[in-house]
Amino acid sequence: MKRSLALAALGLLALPAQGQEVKIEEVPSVAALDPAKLKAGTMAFSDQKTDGLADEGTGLLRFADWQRAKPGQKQFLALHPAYAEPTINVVVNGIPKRHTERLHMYVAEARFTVPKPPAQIDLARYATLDFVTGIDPAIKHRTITPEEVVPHKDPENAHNRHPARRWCEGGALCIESRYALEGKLPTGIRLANKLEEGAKQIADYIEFQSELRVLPAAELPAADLQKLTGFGGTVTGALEQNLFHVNQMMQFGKFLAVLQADPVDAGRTVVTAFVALAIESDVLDKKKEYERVPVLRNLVPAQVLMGNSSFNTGTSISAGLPAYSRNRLKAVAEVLQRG
Amino acid sequence: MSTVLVKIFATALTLSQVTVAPEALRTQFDPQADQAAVTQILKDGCTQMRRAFDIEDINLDDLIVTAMEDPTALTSDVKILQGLSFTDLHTAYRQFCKSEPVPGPTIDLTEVIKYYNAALADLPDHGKLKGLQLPGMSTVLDGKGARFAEVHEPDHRRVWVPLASIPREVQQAFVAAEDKRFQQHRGVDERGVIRAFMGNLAESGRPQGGSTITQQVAKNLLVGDDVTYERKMREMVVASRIERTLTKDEILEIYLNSIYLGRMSWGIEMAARSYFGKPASALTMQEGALLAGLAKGPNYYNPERQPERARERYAYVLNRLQEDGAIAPEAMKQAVAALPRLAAFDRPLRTSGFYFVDHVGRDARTLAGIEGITSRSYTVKTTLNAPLQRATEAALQEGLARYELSVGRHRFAGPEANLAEAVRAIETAAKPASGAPADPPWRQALAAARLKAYDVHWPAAVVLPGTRDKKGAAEAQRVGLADGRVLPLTAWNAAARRGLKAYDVVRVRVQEGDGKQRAARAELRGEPEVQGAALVLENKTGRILSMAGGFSYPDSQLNRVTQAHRQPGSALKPLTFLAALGRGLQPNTLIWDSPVTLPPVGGGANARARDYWSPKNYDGGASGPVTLRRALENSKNLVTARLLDGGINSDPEQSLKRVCELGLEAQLYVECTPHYPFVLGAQPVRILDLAAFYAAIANEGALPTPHAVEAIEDGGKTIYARKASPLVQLGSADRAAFFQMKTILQGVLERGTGRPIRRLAPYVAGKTGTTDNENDAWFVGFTNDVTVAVWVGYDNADGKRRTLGRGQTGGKIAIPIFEPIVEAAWQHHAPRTALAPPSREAARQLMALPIDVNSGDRLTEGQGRGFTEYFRLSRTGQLDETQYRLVTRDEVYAFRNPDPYADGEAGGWTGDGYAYDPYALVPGFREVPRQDGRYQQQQPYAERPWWEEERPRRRPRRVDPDYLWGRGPIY
Repeated sequence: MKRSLALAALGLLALPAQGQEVKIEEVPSVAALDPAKLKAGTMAFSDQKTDGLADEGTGLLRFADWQRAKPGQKQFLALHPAYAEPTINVVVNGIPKRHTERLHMYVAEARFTVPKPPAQIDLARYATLDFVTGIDPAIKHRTITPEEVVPHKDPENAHNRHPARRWCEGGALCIESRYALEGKLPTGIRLANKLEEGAKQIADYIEFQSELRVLPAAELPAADLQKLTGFGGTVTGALEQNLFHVNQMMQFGKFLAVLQADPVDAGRTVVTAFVALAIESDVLDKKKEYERVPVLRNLVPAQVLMGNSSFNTGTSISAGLPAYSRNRLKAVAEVLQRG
Repeated sequence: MSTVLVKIFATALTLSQVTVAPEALRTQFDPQADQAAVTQILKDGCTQMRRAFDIEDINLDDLIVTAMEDPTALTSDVKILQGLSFTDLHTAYRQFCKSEPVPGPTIDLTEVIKYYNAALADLPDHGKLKGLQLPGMSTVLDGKGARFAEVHEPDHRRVWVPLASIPREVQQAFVAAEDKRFQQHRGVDERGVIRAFMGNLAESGRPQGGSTITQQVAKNLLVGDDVTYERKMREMVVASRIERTLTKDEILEIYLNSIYLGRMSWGIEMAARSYFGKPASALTMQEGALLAGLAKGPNYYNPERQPERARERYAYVLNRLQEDGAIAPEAMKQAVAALPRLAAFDRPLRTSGFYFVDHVGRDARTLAGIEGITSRSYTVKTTLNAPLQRATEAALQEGLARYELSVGRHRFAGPEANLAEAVRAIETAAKPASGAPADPPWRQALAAARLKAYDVHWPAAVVLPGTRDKKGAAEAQRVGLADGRVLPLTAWNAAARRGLKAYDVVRVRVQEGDGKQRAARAELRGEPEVQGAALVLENKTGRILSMAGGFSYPDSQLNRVTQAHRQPGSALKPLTFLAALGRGLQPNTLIWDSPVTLPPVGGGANARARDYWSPKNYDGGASGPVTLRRALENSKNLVTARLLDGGINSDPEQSLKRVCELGLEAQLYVECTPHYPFVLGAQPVRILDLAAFYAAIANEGALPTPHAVEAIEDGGKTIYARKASPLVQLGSADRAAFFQMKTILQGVLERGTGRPIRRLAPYVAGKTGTTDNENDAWFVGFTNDVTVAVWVGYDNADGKRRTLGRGQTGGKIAIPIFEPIVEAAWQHHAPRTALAPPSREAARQLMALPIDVNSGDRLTEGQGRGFTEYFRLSRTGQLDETQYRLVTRDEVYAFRNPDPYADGEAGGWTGDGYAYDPYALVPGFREVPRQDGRYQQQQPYAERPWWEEERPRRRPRRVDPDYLWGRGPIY
């Protein structure tokens, strides 16, 4: 267990505790779902495990396959439209090397409706620290300045800079978040660190930096977004969170919520939300040899990451990416619905 | 309880003891009475594990419980490692690590103890590692002091060096790379063992060792490398005991001297020389780090074939050194920038001199009183002339093949190898051309091939896939050579080439084109069945300059120069003639070449007719009176026999005794069987000894002692040096007789059986030899500087001798081999010079006078120049004429016509009905001494002598009707 038994995560949006709980309905494809068929208080959810493109071993999509098969997603859900798997400098035992960091994508989609016309939804209300602090109590956040953004200050992370602008500028909220892994995972990591002498020590927390912002009108190409959501309603707004630095296991993450007018019901807004996480492929290969061994397979990073380990716990990142994504998207749905 | 669980717990019992209390380690327990003790040991072991991993404060129970929540863990049909269940493991953990009561007997300690006892029975003696010196590689230097050969046992190409001469940082590099806790553990590192066990759980097909340096020493030198639990247990126990017997430095010294590091190098010293061209003592930290990285897998991390991989491993070792504080970060940064510069791999491939080196090994053992040349790393200075050695082998090999070709016996047994697979692999791996075009795959495959007949000097050639000739019709068979040439393949008959397929490797003799009509071609060669041997000896010193003990060493390791005894035939005749010359007979002494019968040695009154000896000449003829010179030049058997009857002594038995004495003094034999055929070379002799005898003739009687070893050094200290001592002058004949013999042997080339190389007569003297039934063919000759002995014959198999074929004499078979060897000796050793005149001492006893060489008559002024014969003078300086001492002037008259063209080779020494052959009991090629020291008795030679098979027609006796003195004696 070289890297971690733990998970990466997103600190997304906060959800007030009160209100009716949204039900999750698993669907093969969110984009193919007619919003008219969505029941109130229900969120359709898909994380693409059944679309045939997923890697058999991990259930994840290779970045290369993803950008080829789903260019629309890549345009909006990558860190920026031109993002490519980064070639980074690594130093192994003193030898500098150029290494292309291969990635696997976890992409979750959700669709729900908000019983309000689009004009009554003020997305700026959600782009605040209080909001994200409340959505997942397990994750601690603080605001940072653009100068503290790692890709800006660290040349080794320059590949995660935005080519057209600096992160956190233009009114975006700049956040640094930290999540301490829960349950037995920290103990497991301690044991792994003890057993794996000489190897890089694994952190028992996830730390990441992100910006949260409402997309300006200039960045709302209606046709492309309609293609992304698979729904022709007028795009009225979008909220996104870009994770441009994660301390381990991931290269980037993205949350995007697209608000569209419902042509059938003018008093309703259709929200399509995405969570995309770019996981370093070599993490998925770690200790892969144990995947077939009972008991030990629960300690394989990929198993923990995908929520298939007996060490998965809670509702946050330690629960595994699929559970975490469901929970967080559900929380977003609930807060928007109750608004 | 599953079998694997028994094994795991037996291993755990071992591990617990070697890590907790190695001083109290027990290898046997009572299956019943000791269960409590074993339980306690296992519990202690569990505690020790937690301490070793520094996880005493980690709540393993929680983790285990969590892990065991995996539903598949409890599913009984999900097993790992041949039936091992995690449930059982968990139960065992609770039983031994938590001391909890567990339901049911999951761990049957009786079975565990029984398995443990059996696995650790009869452990090897670790004590013999104390002061151990592993076999080493000795270096054989040639006569010029250049490195000629390396001698070592398989997997022991090493030079042992003490730890003190290995730089500290190099030692640290190996420890850092292989066993970072070497200085702390007591032979076994529990962390390594557990990690390996975990790894093996997942990938049992690729077992991991987790061995410490001490365990590696135990495995490599005492326990073996079986992949079993038993071996692992024995290895741990032996390693633990080694640690209690040897110091860490002693263990490290054995380790560093025993490990394989690639480039055919065992041990740090050999690796240092091979990779960096320097001794281990001069290695830098960087070089040591590279070598240390190779210990894990010399081929996998090969710095030439896998430079990137090697560099990563090298960097790993440096990084480990830095972690250990052995080098500073800045030094690490500098060191990691590039691999240390490697010396070109001087692959220790030798293609010649195997019989010689073998002989050197045996001699060295005797001379220096050492256990063996490979027991340590010695430097052996020898007498070898390397280029002459190669030429000698090539001449012998080609000569043997040519003999077989000439008599239709040459066979082609099949290709030496087939490279089709290698060619395919090269083609498959071929990369796009960059820069210079690559050699064709067949050539690359040939260059990489390791051929069985590695000392055969015909070039190896690859049969290329069928190619059409210019007309596009018939397929022309072509071969490719290592130098890239492609030549048509020819063979002595079509059948030889039939069956050859693409990429077969064959041996060929390249026949160069003449640039005009005849194009170059490759003649197919097969490995001959006939054997041969050749030797070049320096006359004045006895130094063995070259030695070929057979056609090819890998084919047969019997050294026919030193280990075989073969009948010398006529090549021994000079011994008898020397005895006669020593008795005062002049070379022009006439003697009857006519049948002779001698009574049996010690026969007395009861002798039977069949016991009388009546030898024959090779051609069956008898040429009448002939001079002693001409008789030897033409190798007359009858004359040789007659010399016993009055030529040496009036009593044939006394004459034989005299010849025997000379043979013993010349060290041709250690004992002489009194048997008349002895004089015709019936008693087998070693080629080496016969060559020394001829060298003595060249030296006018000074007998050299053939030797190959000049000096032996061990670590720079001379443990043997040959003492220079004057040659022993043979007393059985004086210098004058030896010089006369020398001129007669020169006449062998000029006029006698050595006429095929008559052009060499001014420079060479020698004698042919052919034994009864043409079983052996010889030529032994000398120049002023060297003696060359050549023998050809079949190995005796099952006590049977095989003839070379009718008419296959020394002159026909051995001389064609002798000739290129002597030419090579002139080229590589000493230039060609005319044979020297008599020495001052000999000259005082000699007078040169012109004679008619055929009649032996002295020539007076006006009768032409004639032939210059050297006559012995009496002590008073008088010329003692002996021309008619044995044959009267009267008798000579009618028989004065010795046929100069008869092949007077030997054969016929046994005579009609002379059945007793004591030499048949002498060991031949295939016989080896039995344990009781006696030789296995050879079957007496039962075939009829050749004259009975195909008796030549006797030339009618000519009679001069005017002859007035009677018909002379007819025996």
